[in-house]
Amino acid sequence: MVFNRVKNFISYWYLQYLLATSVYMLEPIERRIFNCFLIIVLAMFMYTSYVFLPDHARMIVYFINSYILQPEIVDGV
Amino acid sequence: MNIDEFSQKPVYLASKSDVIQDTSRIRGRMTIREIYNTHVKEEFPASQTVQALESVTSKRMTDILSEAPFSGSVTEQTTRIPVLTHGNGLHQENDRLKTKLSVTNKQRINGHRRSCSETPYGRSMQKKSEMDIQHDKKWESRFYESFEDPPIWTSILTYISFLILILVGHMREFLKKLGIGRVKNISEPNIPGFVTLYQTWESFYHWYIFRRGKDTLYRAINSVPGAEMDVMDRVTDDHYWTFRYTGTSTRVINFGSYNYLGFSQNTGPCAEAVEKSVNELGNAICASRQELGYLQIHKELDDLVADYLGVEAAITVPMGFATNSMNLPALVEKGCLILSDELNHASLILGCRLSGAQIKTFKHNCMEDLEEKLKEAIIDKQPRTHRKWKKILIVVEGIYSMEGSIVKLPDVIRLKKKYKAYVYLDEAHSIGAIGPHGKGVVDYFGMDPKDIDIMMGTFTKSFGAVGGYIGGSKRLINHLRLRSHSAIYSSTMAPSIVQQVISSMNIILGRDNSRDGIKRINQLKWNTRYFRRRLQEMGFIVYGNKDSPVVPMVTFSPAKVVYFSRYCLEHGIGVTVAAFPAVPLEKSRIRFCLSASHTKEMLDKVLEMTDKLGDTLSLKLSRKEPAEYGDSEDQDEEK
Repeated sequence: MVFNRVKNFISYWYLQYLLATSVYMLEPIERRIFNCFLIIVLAMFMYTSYVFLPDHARMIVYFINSYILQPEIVDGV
Repeated sequence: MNIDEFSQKPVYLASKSDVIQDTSRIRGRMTIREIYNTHVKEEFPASQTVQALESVTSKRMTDILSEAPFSGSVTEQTTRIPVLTHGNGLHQENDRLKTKLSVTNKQRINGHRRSCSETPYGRSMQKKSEMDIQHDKKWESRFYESFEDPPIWTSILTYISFLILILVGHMREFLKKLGIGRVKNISEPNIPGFVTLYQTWESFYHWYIFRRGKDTLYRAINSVPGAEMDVMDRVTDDHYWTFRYTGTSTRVINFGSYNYLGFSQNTGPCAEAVEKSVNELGNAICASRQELGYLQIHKELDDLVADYLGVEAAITVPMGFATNSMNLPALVEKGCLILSDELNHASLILGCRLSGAQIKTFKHNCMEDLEEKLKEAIIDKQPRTHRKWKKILIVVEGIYSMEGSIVKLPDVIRLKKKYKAYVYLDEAHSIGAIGPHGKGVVDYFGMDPKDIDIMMGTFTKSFGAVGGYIGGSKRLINHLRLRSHSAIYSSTMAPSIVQQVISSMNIILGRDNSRDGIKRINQLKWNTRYFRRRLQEMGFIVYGNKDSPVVPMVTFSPAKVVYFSRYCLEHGIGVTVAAFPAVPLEKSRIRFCLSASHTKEMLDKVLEMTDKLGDTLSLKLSRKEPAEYGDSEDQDEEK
């Protein structure tokens, strides 16, 4: 029963994705290629953000704090 | 001004509005002799005495310069008021005046730019001058149209989806050049020095975007397209490049045919009369109207159409498209101006272009824009030479089939009388479908049919036949009988079709001594109001007037509209899809064409399915309160 509910949930949202981006109208092979392309792009995006985002965020916070606490000393870090 | 002055020079009205104040001040310097030469001579015979002349000119000069001619009731308007124009005696002044006039007046017109409130193609404040406000009659309070805009994320998603389709299409083109993939379009070798056979965007759109949804259009049917029809099943083996019929057919409820009064039947009194006429008169008449092709039955039809419309005479043409395209060139020519609505049908556009007249379009159903263009036309006149236009013709349609909007006819007639233009009304979709007696948009507003110079319509939609008609004054129809291309070159209507029109018109007029006509008209009206109100209550965006039997429900995204149509066909309903290029790119829609032969159960079935699909596809985008109006016009009048 749980599998049915999960399947319904996924198929509903898959259809919404197909209709909203108009991938519904493409041929089956085009659909597969487009889905693969989208998954690859999303995977790369997630990987990049997982690896680099904490460091970037920490540096931004550091810069903002140092700017707030005292005037900026333009000397490079 | 009536069409009897067809061959004479038209005269333009100098009304006292701020836009042309310059001209009246300048023209006040005309001498008495010049005034006499230009228009008093035309009106009065040469034996008039000087006192009469002076009394005439002084009275009329003061009339024109001090008083607005269009005030008070309509009957005052019909008296002839002479007009000060650049007559024949003013050539020397013309050159000096024309540059000055055109510059000042263009600035003033652009400074007071007015556009319409709530049309699909523009909206802003609506301003009216004082003398026009008194003519806001009761019709405006009962006139309701809506063209709602969707939320912004819908438009963004629609554009993204088109972007994806275009990118994929370009990929396929590129792969085709490399030889990968099966693309079955016609490719031509790139010969330098020759124009390409296929236009870039239109052909690209057709091959890579339109083709993907082609099974929703051009469906073949196996039966008469009445309230229900048999659609032949077809499958595609190569992704919609070609189709193959399987041999079976599905019975569906027909919401795709124009069958407003339900005369599209193959049984009944009309069909029996048609059989009899074929036995008597044959299948086709192989001669043109001016030679041997005008039979007694055609004369009967012409007289009946004239009687139905309330005009003096009518002429019929065997093809609806040709009625427009072949008769407009006989009415206007090279020195005339045509002001046509921007959403006019292709036949009207073709007729206007063939005639050789100058064409200007005004915003859809926007009377302020039309008035601006009329004023510009009268002041600036022809573009290079600044001669006056020979005629100004306003071309409008009764109901616009893609939008479901009804023309604001009282305003058009008011402007026509004020600026002395002519009106060509194309009632292809509105004849038989609206109005308390089914006589079209003129009946709907309660206006006089003699106000409209040229009333055109077709028999295809409400009468179950083919062909078109043009109605007007006897003098106009006599001119068309001689000069129209369709009267000279095309053969006349087949007797079976003529008989079908005659029988159906007699039923609508009630001359067959039954209440069938009234029942059909009332059923259509009830269907229209019920269906539209239910759709709006559910929350869909529906365009158009509350009374138009064409119901365009907008779905915006191309994938959704294709899914909707396919799902409906699987479940027994046939609807039409309207997408680019018939409608704007992001506003594709599903069009329901209601009919008097649809029962309430059929409408309920469709509404239930639309409700379910609206939830699945998230189409319930309307953010306005549904308008409150009654089931019929009697309930409207009670308010």
